[in-house]
This record gives sequence, C-alpha cells and structure tokens, in this order.
Amino acid sequence: MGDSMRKTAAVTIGIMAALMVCPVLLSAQEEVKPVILLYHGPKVGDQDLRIYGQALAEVINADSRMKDKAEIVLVGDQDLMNTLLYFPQVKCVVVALTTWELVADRIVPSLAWYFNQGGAIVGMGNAGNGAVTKVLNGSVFPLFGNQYRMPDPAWFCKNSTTGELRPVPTPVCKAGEVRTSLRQTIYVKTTAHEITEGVADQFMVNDKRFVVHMNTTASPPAFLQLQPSKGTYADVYSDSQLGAPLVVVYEENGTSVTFAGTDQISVKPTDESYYETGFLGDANFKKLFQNAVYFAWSKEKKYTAAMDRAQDEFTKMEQEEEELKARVKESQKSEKSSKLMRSVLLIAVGVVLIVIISYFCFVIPARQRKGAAAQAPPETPAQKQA
Amino acid sequence: MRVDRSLIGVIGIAIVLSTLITLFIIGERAKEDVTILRNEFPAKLSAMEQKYAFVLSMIARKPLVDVTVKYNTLSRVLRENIGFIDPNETTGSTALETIMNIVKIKSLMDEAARIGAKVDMWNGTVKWKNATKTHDMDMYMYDFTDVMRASMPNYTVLDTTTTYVVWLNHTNGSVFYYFQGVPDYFYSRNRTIVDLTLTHNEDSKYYRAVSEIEVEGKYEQIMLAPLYGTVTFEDIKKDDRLFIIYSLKGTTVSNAYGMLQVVRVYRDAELETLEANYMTP
Repeated sequence: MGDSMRKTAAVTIGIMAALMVCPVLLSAQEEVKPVILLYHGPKVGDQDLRIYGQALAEVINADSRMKDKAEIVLVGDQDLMNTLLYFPQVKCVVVALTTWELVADRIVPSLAWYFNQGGAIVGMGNAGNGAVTKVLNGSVFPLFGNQYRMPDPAWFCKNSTTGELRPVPTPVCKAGEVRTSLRQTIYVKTTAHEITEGVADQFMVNDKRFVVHMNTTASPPAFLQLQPSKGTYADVYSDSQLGAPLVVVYEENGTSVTFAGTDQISVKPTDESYYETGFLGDANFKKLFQNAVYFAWSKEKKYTAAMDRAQDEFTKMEQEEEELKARVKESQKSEKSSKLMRSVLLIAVGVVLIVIISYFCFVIPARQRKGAAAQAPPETPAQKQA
Repeated sequence: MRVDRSLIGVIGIAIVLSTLITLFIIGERAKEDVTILRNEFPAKLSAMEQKYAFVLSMIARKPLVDVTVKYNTLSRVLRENIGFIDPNETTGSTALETIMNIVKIKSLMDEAARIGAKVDMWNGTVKWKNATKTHDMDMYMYDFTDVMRASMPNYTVLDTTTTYVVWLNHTNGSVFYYFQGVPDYFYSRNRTIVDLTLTHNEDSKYYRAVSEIEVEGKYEQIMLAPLYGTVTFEDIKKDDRLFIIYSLKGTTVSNAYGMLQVVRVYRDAELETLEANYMTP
C-alpha cells in the first residue's frame, strides 16, 4: 500500500471553503430532552443484541412516568458509549452487560466518572461481576460478585390452560396441571423501598444465573454478604435459597440500582418477542425494572449542573473565538493603515526622486543651454547668409 | 564620450517608476499566510526499538495575531468493525448518506445537535498512493473535540475517541478507509512521546516524558504540553519560523491496520491548510 498521502495544494483552497461548522445554537436548555443511554453490548456472531436493548427500552417507555420524558439512545459499542457518557444531556444510564461481555475496560473509567458526578446508573447482568466491571464493583455496582450462582431446580405445577407456574414442595399436582422441574430465581423482598412499590413480596423469574459474592476460602464456598464502606446501601430483593442480594440500591455521589440476574441473555434470542416472553415478560420484574429506572432518573444530580456548565463552556468558547476575531480585525485594520502610510511614503519618495532626477537631468541642462545661448555673440550678416 | 543628461534622466525616472510598481505588486501579491516548509512523519509506523520523529516547520508570510496547529491521531478500523446502521446499504446515493450510515458518527452528530454544539467538519479530496498509482479519495472529517471539552475533564479528552475520518472511493462513493482517534499529538502521550519541542524563532519550549527528565527545571513534563494537540503561536511577525518537533518511543507504538495523522493549521482563526499523513503498519 502507499506510504504517504497528502492533500494537493490546488485542492486546499476549495477544501478550506468547504470547511463547515454546524451553526446549531440552541440557547434554550429546556428544549433539550434528557437522554437515557442504554448499553446492550455488541453483536456476537449473528446475534444482534440490539433487540435486547430495544426490549429494555420498550419496558422503560411503557412506564407512564417516563413516557416522552427522555430520549433513549441504544448503544452497542463500548468506545461509543465511553464518548457518549460525557455528553451533558445524559440523565440516566442503563448498562446491560451480557454474559458474553467479559471485558468492559473501555467504559469503566467513564462510568465511574459519571457516577461520581451525581449520575444515575441501572446495572444488569455482568455489571455486578467484579471480574468485568472491576473498580465499579463495590463503588458503583455494590454486589461484589465473584461467581455465578445457578438456582437449584425446583418442582412446579404448570396450569395446562394458562401456563401459570405454581411452586410446590413435592411433585404432586392437581388435575389440569402438569408437573415440571425448573431452575427459577425466586426474588424475596428484604427491604421496603421506593423501587419495591407495586411489586410482589415474592416472585419468580425465568432466569438461570445471577452474580454473587462467594467466600471461596471457606469449604464449601459460602455466600458472603459485603457492603460498601460509604454511602447508603439497601438490599431490596434477595435470592430465596442463599439470601444473596438480587437487587441493590446504592446512593453515594451518584445513584445506582444493580440487578444480579438477567442471565437469560445467554440464550440466543430468536426474535424481538424473546425477552417479552422471558424475564421482561414477568409483570413483577418489569415493574421492578421500571421503578429502578424511574428512581435512578429522579434521584440523578448531574444533569442540570452539566447542562449549565456545558452551556457556559460553549459561550466561553464562542467568546474566545469572537475575541480572537476582534483582535485579528484590529490587527488587520492597523496593518491596512500602515500599508496606506507605506504606499503614501513610497509615492512621496518616488515623486521626490523623479523631481530630483528631472531637476538635474532636464531643468539644469535646459537652463545651461539657455544661459549658453544668451552668452553667445550675435550672428554676423555673413554667418546668417551662410 | 559624453552622455546626454536627458537620457540619464529618462532612464532614472523609468527605474524609479518600475521600482515603485514592483514594490506595489509585491505588497499586494496574494500568497499563503503560513507556508509549511517541512511535514515529516514516519511512512511506516510499527512497534520497533527505535524513535519515530515528527517534524512540522512553517514560515509566516505576513504578520499574524495567531497561528494554531491542531493534531489528531487516528487508527484505521477494519470494515467489518465499522458498525453500519444498515449493513446492507453501506454505500448511499450521496456521501452524506454513506457517512450517516456509520453508527458512531450518526449517534454523535445527533447528540451534538441536541445540545446545539458546534462540530468541526471538513471535506476535500486527498491523494492516496499505492505501489503503482495515485488514487483520489474524498475525505470527510468529523471532530467532536470541542463538544466534549465542554463537559469532560481535560485530560480525559486526550484518551477519548472524538475524531472520525472517512475516506470514500472517489469513483463509486464506497467507504475505502475509516479511521477514529483522539485529539492529540499521539495516543497516550505520557507513555508514547519521548520529547516535544515547540519553537517560535529562537524561543523554544521543551517537554519530556517523565522518565527522560534528567535535570529538573530544564524541561517540563509532557503532560503539561498544550492540551488536545493544539499549539498556539501568538504575535507572529513576517518571516517568523515556527516548529513543532516530537518523537515517539517505538516500542510503545501499536499500529495494527494503519494510522492517520491529521494536522490542521489555522491562521487568525481561519483554516489555512490541512495535512493528512497516513502511516502504514
């Protein structure tokens, strides 16, 4: 391939003329709709996780409290997410890290910054996994997850007509029911909180794994409850078997709600309806997720300050540009007048030189010729005749 | 032989008049305000046990209030990793349609527009040489640095992707190369840049990587060099010479698919020239 490339000089002028700057100048901040950034992860093979993001966005939009309040921007690339996180209009962030996403290094620093600025984050899946979110695990997503936990299989009686599942201690079902064994995460309310309003005290989710902190030095490894050293921490729903937190609300500089589960993502979704028939189809989970987003959104402390600061910065940049232009104009003006002076001086010098040359080369010789003619003796008649 | 004085006079007046006219013509002649005398960069850049030098030298052709040079360093992204909104329609009917099909550029343009931020955009034709022939490429550059500066910590901007460049095939409008990168002399300057010197005539400022500073006070740390790869020279006189010279530690370089360095020179707040330096891996 080529080793160097540069633009041609001839083209430069045309190109410079084509320099475009978007002259968009919105002065009224109230016109700007706040943004919810929803990170759903990249495409994995032929698996487009955008449909996961769309399903989550639909759940948020279905909440009447959030309807038309925010613009939900779906992001599937960590580098883009990293850049977008610094935009001032971001009022809330939903980070759904799937089980495929084992490295989140590109967004960890920006998420930490965002949270410390007073931002609001809802984390799901691997967000609570310390191996993935590293420093965020404990400071933003306080699950301290170091392992996945798979709920033990349990017996259920499935209603043949409605499909409803009924947990039973023994595999004995009534007429019209079919017994079945399933792994289901059972959520048990541990603390009453704003985000638990309208959600059952106990419910099951068709979700087969969740992150948990296990004391691996113990034999056998046992669940160990950890909490951040500062901030307000509330474990609102726990797993029925271990008592491990499944949903945690945390308030420090920012506000976060972290879900330990949503592992259903590890199964290949067939179409857009996949998630609606899974954990997002569960009315309790759906409500809990909506409450979590709304709570984070309403507790957020960054948006107004960030928008004001950005507006100030834009004004400052504009002022600096104006000042520079004014200085340039002033300098061009003085350059113009000095140029005029130079021209006048040049013309004056030229005129003087021409006058001097004319004096010495034309006037003096003419005078000399005239003087010489005056001093010469008058012509004799013979000379005249000759 | 006696020469007629009037002849000398005519010649003298002719000389004076022609000198005056020449001086006026020189004074009014249209020319570049800042001329790039040297733009040196490594044509091949890869992790090697050597230093890579970058030199930019310029001369001012007239007095100027301000000459600003902006550097952007970008990496080429393979086509399969670009990320198109519609992967089946990667070539639109217009250049804008093609570019706005790239998820990252479209998303950032939308968000910048939402808050009324200014985005620096540039487009023009560039020459691309391969072993056998030179091709014309339509280059489109989108720089969101100023947008990000408004809400981001200063040093974070240096490691954030804020600049995107697309080269479109001149003949069929398809995406030839796509680059994304940062607004700085090079990536992770504290790790990669060994030394940086900014010179305005005899007046120089020296910056060094912390590991290279032997005598305290003689050099400043590289992190203190002007931010965002933006160097401003002020109060420029005619024939002033300006230099930006820096070198990279070869072992720290990572260039998998090719890199593009974009150098923009502004004089008195107006873009004077743009250099696009492509470096093969």
